[in-house]
Amino acid sequence: MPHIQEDPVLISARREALVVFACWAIAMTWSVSYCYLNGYITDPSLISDKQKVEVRQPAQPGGIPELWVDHGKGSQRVEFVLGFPAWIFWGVALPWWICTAFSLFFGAFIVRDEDLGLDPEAAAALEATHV
Amino acid sequence: MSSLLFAAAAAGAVTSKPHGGIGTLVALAVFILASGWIGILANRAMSHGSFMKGFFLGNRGLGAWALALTATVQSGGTFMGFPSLVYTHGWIVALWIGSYMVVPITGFGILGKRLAQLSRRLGAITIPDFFRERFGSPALGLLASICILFYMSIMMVAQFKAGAIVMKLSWPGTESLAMSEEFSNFVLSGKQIERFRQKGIIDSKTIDKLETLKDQKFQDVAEFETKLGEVLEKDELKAHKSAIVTAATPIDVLYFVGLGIFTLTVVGYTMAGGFLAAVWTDLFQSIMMFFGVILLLVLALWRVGGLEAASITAVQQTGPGFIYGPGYDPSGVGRQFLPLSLAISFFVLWVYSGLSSPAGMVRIMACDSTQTIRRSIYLLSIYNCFIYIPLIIICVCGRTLFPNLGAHSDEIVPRMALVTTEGLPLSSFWAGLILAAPFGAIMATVSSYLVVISSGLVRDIYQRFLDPDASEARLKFLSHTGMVVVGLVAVAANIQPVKYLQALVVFSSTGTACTFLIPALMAAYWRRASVAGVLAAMFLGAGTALTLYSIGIFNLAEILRLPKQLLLGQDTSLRPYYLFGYDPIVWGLSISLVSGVVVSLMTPPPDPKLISKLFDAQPAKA
Repeated sequence: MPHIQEDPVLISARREALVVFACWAIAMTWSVSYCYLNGYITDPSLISDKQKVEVRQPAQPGGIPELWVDHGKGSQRVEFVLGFPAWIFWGVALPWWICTAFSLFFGAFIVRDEDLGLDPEAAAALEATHV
Repeated sequence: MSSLLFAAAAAGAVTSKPHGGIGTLVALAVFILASGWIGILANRAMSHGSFMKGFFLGNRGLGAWALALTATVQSGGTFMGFPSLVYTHGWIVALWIGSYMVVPITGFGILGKRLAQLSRRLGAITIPDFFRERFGSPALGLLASICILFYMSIMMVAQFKAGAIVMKLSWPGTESLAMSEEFSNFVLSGKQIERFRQKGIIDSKTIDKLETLKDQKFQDVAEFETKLGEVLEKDELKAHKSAIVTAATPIDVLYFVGLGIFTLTVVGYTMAGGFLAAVWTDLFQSIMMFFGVILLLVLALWRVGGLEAASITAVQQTGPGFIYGPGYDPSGVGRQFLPLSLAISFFVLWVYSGLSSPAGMVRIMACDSTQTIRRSIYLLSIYNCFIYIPLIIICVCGRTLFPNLGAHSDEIVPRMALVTTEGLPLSSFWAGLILAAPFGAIMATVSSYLVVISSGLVRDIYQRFLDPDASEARLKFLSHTGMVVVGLVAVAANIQPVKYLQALVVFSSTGTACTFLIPALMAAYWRRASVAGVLAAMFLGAGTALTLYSIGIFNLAEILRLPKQLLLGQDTSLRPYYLFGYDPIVWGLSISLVSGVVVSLMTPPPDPKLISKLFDAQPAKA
């Protein structure tokens, strides 16, 4: 019995799909768990409570005022990175940029170019031109 | 310096209501003319080859730009529902939309290459074609057609309303900026009350009570009905509510003008250029959207004095929920916009609903090579980076500039466009260019749905089941007629505008993913997948989503003795039952996967010859 080879497009497509699936799983695990652990208020009754918000004047003259919020664990200063709340920066914005970089790498080095073939109509037209 | 900027942000709230000038309308008119021109170009480009492959698949000639910026870029919702959510719930919406970080690779990398290859090998032009030929089952093709027609029709009818409303708000001096779900100003005039009296359909005692509401303005139907409930007795309300509400509903001329222009434009250019017209206008609007968002981002940040200052001001106006999860709750009733279970659900929803959308899958089938798929990944990943995070920043800034939009939070993008361009040369024209982006997004979405629905009717039902030998001229005539009829039906459905636009879009996306994702994966990668297995995956996936939506919409949880639903997610009446807090897509996909695998393994394997043709290396033709 002759050895039958799997379609090369199927082999590369399946490999690439597994890489993509892993990337999605890692992105979801990181973003959701980081944001949940660092950016969620545990007591929902505090969500809309303006009394828990305090803006303090900056320690350095000319700086941006500091935002202090009591979200159930005592009043804490809200950290910002590049203007984003720190948990959004580390949990969403930075992973987004990393995923963008990975997508470029994936397109350049992981996806293999293959011949997709012709549909029956195009194949017939090609055959007719050869005849 | 920074504290001065902060002070500017805190004090910079805009209290007046901006409105569009003539430049806004001119920009939109230019956009409409450009779309018509694109339709004519597409008509010329598709003229070689067969009508069906040209009109419904663009002769499989899509390049990287057209594929990248149209197959997975979202509908008008990107500029409508999403900004409203950021304004209302705050920074947590960044996590809600966060899965878009992987959409460029999931959209093209999971199914793209294999779908493009198999559709060629099978000669498939549409998604039902693909399933029918892949499994050699006309019944499967028919089921896929029916599901696509169902979901796409719901989605498309909702988009027509959105198009009409954007057109309306661009009218110079219009009072409405909202892309909202309700008309404004419900009024019961003296004339209408007099008409009730003359016709004698309402008793005089009730009419006397209605006099107390005469000429009062109500923002929406809910407010009007609440007031009616206060004025009338229960039995009076029961007997006459429908007639009174109908009489008080305003006739909105600009809405109908907008609906007419929108319909003529989109049906016209889609009829002319078919699939290619839909794709090229989609590409055009995506580029407009890119520049519109970048322009708006720069202007918004400049106006509020920086992102950190804007966030601090917004939190002062709202509460801790604006800057922390699960998101701000304006009603104060304890609604959790994005608890952990929904954060996980939305990481599934956006990724897999985009991947399995029939309109998107057809575009992948139409791409010309794997190089195109690769380049599309580059383009889309960069594009998404410059759309979603900037839109979040814009709307956080918007909260500072417009602190009290309340129920009209969907006005945020038009307001930002009009206010931040003030003072620029040709300000209303720039505002119009920014506003053209949502209009274009909606037009492009409708156009692609028109193509999918028309192909479903003509190719998958008429040609497959009624007249397989139909001539090309007849198919062309029927395709064009189908589009006109679908357009007219959508207009008729929107004379009394549909409600819950955004929720309808989410419902259709969920349903589509639960119906098609697992069957498409099985078709592409699993030799053992059988017709019965794929049918089970489609039926049970779709059935699960529909069941959970029905339980939520009709409040059946109590009757069925299911656990009491917490206040989760978006505040809308068209909401599903979130079983254990998860969106229906999680349950629908899980059940679809399990049923597809189990039923396939329990039923006879598919024809080995067909499987070999699709899964094994084919000998090169001499």
